[in-house]
Amino acid sequence: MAGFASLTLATEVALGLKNGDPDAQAEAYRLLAPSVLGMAQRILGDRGLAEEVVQDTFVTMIERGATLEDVHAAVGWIRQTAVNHCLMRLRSPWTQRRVPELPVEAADPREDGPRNEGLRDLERALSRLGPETRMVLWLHDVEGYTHQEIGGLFGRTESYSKSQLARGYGKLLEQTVEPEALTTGNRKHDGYARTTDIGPACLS
Amino acid sequence: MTDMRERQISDLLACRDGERGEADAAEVLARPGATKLLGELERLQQALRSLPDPTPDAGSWERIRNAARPVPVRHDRAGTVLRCPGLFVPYAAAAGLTLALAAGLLAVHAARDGAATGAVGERPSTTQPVAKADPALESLYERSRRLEPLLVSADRRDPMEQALRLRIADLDGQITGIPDSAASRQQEERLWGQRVALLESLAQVRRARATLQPAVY
Repeated sequence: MAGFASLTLATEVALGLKNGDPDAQAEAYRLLAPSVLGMAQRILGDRGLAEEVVQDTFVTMIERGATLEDVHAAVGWIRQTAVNHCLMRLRSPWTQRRVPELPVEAADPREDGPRNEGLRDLERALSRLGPETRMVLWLHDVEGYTHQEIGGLFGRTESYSKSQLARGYGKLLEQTVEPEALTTGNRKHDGYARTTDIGPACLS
Repeated sequence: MTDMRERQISDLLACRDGERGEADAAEVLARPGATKLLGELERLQQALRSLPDPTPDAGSWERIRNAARPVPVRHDRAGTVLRCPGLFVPYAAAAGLTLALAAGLLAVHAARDGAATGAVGERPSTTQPVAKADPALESLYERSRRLEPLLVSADRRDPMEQALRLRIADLDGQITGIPDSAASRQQEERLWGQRVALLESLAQVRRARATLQPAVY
């Protein structure tokens, strides 16, 4: 399951971060690194860059853990650190020159079938969006950021975030379902699954 | 995607997120195909949330532990974090040494940059359009890409490395602002050249620092 919403750090682990305890740092990494990597990979569309974000995020956690004021906000602090590192890379001229579309890994290489195929289609469609659109979509609809918060991150308005979100969904729908299929249910003949194939049927 | 379609999706997302009043939402949902489209949007959101998280590379935590240098702190009886200035003395000494080294390196690179930007009259004419796939530029991208990991692991408390990082960040801002035209290719090449030179300075500083052994008393 993507996102940080269901993740919590035990109070003693968060206190350990504040006190520089290596065991607590390792535990926080074990719990949160997959979510940081997942978020960064979906936002940046690149596994190598996402690994860099994981490294920078947890280096910051170790180096600045002592400055954590509210131990109950440790997960949010680490997530925000990761978001900032993603944003920094999106703005880097080097990143902007990368080819945006990258090979999409199987959601789970050991598993095959409609569910995995649907998730692969969704990952592929996501990777074809513009980086800022991807980031807005992910932060709003997976991480639960508000439009105001996202607008602030980009130095833009709330409306910018809303329009990017609508654009992102429009493109995802175009790539996963034909507009007519919204009323007729016809499958698009380009190898992509309809959204219904990556909907509830593949969520179980 | 048409503006109308984008607006339709935007309206439905606003309904989904409770940003519309009841009457307004009812009006939006009463439009032809709206309920079905809203269902699709909700299923997409669920699917995004259900994407599995990948597993970080093996050895990633070890690399992080090795790259991190925790700030020395102690706590008073009430648990308040106190900085320990005495613990920074060795860092300050090392920083002083690297700063002196850095000043020399920056001077060398500034001279090199000057030469590369036409001080010796070797710059190609600005009226000469340069192809997009300029081999020199491609080579700079590649060198920059190879040196990029140095930036990720740069020590933020080391004044030398921090100075280089800031200069690189400034260059990145300038590179981003270059218009995408053949006429600006030369400017782009100059800036990327400076970026590579700074990254190479960072590599030299890192190597020099690695040879400095801490004094043992």
